[in-house]
Amino acid sequence: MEFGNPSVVFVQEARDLLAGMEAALLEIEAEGANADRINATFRAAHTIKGAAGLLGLELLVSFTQVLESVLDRARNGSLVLEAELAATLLRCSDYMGLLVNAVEAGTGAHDPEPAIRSELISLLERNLKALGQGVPGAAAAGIARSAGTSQHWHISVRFAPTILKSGMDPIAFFVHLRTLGQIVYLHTISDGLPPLDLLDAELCYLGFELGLESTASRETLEGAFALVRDDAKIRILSSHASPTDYIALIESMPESHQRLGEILLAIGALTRAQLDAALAVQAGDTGAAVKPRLGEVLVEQRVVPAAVVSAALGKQKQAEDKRHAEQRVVKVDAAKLDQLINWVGELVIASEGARISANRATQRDVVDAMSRVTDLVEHIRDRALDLRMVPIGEVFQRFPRVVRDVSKELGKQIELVISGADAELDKSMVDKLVDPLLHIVRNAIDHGIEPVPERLARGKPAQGQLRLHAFHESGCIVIEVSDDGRGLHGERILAKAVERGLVAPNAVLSESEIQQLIFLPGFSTADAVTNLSGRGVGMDVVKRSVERMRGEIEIESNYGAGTVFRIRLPLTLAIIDGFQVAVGKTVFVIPLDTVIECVDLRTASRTQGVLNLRDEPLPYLRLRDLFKLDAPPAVRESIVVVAYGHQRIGLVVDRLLGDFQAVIKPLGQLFRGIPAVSSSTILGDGSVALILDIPNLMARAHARGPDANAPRPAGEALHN
Amino acid sequence: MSEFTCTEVVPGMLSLSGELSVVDAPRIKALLLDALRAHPKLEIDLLHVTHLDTSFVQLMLALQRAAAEDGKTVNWLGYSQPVEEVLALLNLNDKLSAPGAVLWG
Amino acid sequence: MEQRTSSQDSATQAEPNLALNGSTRQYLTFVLGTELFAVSIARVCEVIELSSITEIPLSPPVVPGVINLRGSVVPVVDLARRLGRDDKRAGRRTCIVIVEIDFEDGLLPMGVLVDSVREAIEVDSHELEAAPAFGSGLRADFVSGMVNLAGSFVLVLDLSVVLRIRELELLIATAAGVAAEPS
Repeated sequence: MEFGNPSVVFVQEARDLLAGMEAALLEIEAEGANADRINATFRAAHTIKGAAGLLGLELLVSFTQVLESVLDRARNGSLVLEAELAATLLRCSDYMGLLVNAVEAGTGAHDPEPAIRSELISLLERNLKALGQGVPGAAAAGIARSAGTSQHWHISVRFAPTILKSGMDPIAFFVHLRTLGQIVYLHTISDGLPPLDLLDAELCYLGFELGLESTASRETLEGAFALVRDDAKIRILSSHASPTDYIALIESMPESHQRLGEILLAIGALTRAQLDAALAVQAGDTGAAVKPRLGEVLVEQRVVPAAVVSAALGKQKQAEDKRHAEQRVVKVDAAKLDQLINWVGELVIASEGARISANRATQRDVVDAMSRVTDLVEHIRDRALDLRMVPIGEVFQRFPRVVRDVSKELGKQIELVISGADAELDKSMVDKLVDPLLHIVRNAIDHGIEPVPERLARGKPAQGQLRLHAFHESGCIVIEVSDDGRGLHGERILAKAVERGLVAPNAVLSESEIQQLIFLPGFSTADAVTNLSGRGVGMDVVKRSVERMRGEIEIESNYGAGTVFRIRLPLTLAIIDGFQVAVGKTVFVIPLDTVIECVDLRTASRTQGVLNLRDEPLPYLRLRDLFKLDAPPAVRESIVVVAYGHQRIGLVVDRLLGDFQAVIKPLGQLFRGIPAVSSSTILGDGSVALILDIPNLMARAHARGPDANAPRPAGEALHN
Repeated sequence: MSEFTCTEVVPGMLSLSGELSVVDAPRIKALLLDALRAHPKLEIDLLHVTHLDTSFVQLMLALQRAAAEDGKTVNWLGYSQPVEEVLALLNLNDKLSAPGAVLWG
Repeated sequence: MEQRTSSQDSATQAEPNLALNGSTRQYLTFVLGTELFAVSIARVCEVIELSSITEIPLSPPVVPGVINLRGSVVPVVDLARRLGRDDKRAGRRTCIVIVEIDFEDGLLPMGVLVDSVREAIEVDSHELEAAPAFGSGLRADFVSGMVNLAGSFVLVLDLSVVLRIRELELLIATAAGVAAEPS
């Protein structure tokens, strides 16, 4: 028994639509309204309203209705959408966002901001009253769009039996219809209801015939039905419907002709004369009943001139083509995706085991076959992991609005340039990245970019530039936030750090070390931290967030010219290419993308824990020392040189075991305190190997200092 | 998750309260079916129903029909406002016998 | 009638009471050295023969390492050490009892190393007595009661305390942190 959860889907889609609406409104505000932008805004509002109606979200529906009316006028030219109205509409979309949040939280029936709502509604209604003021010809809008005289519609609805399981309820649907007009009659047909003991309580057996008196346009009615269209058989007849129309309706519904005819008669949908005429037509009609589609239904009105009909059909086909083109994207349940990747992981392990066995078999064709399988598995693995990658544009997309709001609030002029939005990162990182970036951006706007007079005095253009840029580099994704503002003032930072006791008064620090001081907890100063949110959040929180994602953050700044914050994040994957090494009987796996080369230890010269590798110093450490492994040392040790970001280190191991695909298995809560190990993996022979956390390992190596590799007395054995 | 309760006040008189939605419909159907099989006359109180959807309306109709076929009776003792509104919307007031005048304790 | 000592981590749930017909519960008995213990069967998944344990470097002997359980990496706790029985009293560990421990919103699988597993017994709630306050040599909160099994007293262990995740995590982190320090 599976039930779709309509409000989850609704919340997600509403948010997407609101994001689109916001983007269009921002463009209108910045560059002026045009037909495309207005239409985009209207369509978003219209679709949200329809979906909200089906879920009975009256607060959202009634508010969006007013919004839609205003946008409708803008569409047909009777209202000019200038910057001030656009700003109001942006506030409306924010308020709708609040309502959607309430739906998600389960409090959709309560208005979170009644004062804002009434203010916005009165602002909107003021624009509705402005209709006709000095805009010639506006009233002669197209027939399809004007909310004109009231019409009577007869509507036949037969919901699919499984509609209740999809989370939709006919009652909610009718309640929504009531917002479009008056339900003059409604007949519930329970003919299809089975006896109680045979009835499946989760299915819908009821049919409905109703009459709606409404001033809504055909388009609006279409919109109301759009979302149930796939789950229901619907026929709409206008008051001008002909006998043929009625026959078509009667034939397409499950009840017998006579029965349905009687019902229609009884509810006054038809007169006796009309019904007789219809049945007469049917007697002579040999055409097969066509399954009704909404486009067809509305064409049945003979009143509409043929030219308009074909135009409408042409438009409909265009819309469908566009829909098909847009449907290149498929939404996938994140849980299902994770499951799929788990199975791919199991496949990788199994194939690895099979490959080992095959190689032992030494039969040529077995080995060849296994090799082909391994290739395929690798391809599938790559494709599956690729599914988890999303473009970072998803993170960047909220920043135009943020920059606009904050710069407005602070009275600064700032242009936001976004590049590299296509760079992809793992879906799980997207959420965690937003806050750190927000802090950095706010910081840049608040303290980085100067107010206009100061910029001009420095010979800079009045408008400051903020740039968000992302790209891939050696297995990481790099995100840069740069501004052309004040830059960091080294002396002032150092002085503040000394003042706060974070640094000794006579300490000598390089320029980059000084800049890194702003990441120390307790550093917050008015010069380096945003106080917009009032929380006094410091850059140390940003750094910790980045490090929790196993990333790094660095700063580059020139006083007077600007600052660049650079965040580097690993492209974490559930399956990685790994390089196996062994120390004693413990097998470790080093992420292959960090491995530069392997060197025989005997041949490398070293002093004091630093190797001389081709005349370059390379710090190194022994894994057996780091992990206190006491197996007898190997005769011939090797060094694996690994790199992360700009740093390199050599890892001394006993044996090199080659590369393989590692399916990451978390070690779990228990082992969080084990240093330099991030997770584990299962080898082809079923044993468990530990995956090294290279950034963590490097951090520890640095912390230990240069004599970390001097031999030490054995530590005490520890008991619990 | 929606919650409903069904109490047998006295044998043959059920009181349903809470949210009667499709999620619980199979259980509600089973309860109604058992009650109908056990008693020649069934009285059902809906005064404390806070929410209902189409699934429950169907059960009401089917229950009534089943009773009629078995020569039994079903009396709806009281309708809460949500019930009244739904029955009015779907125009089912004449199909489902109006609530009895006597309200239980 | 079961003893429960107040615990530091109030978020831990006590073991679920899987009453059968209101008053009897099932327990699994096993041997550790010369002693017999019992645990509620509620959270026991299976018992497997000891294969190889992969040692986790720097982890203290109470949690010697992990095993591969059908593709999942499951930590193993040396029960004798956890109960404070030193190495000499422990016998040959040959079995791992796989259990599930409550943690945050879910259940975490863990393996418990024991010498051998005996049988599952049914105990009436009135047969369950309070364990003696001293003499067993065990932490009081590890023991939820005692039952008389054909003349011998079997201590019933509260796995939710014995295997409390946060406590074990701290033990491991402390040991690993100290061990990893350059001395």
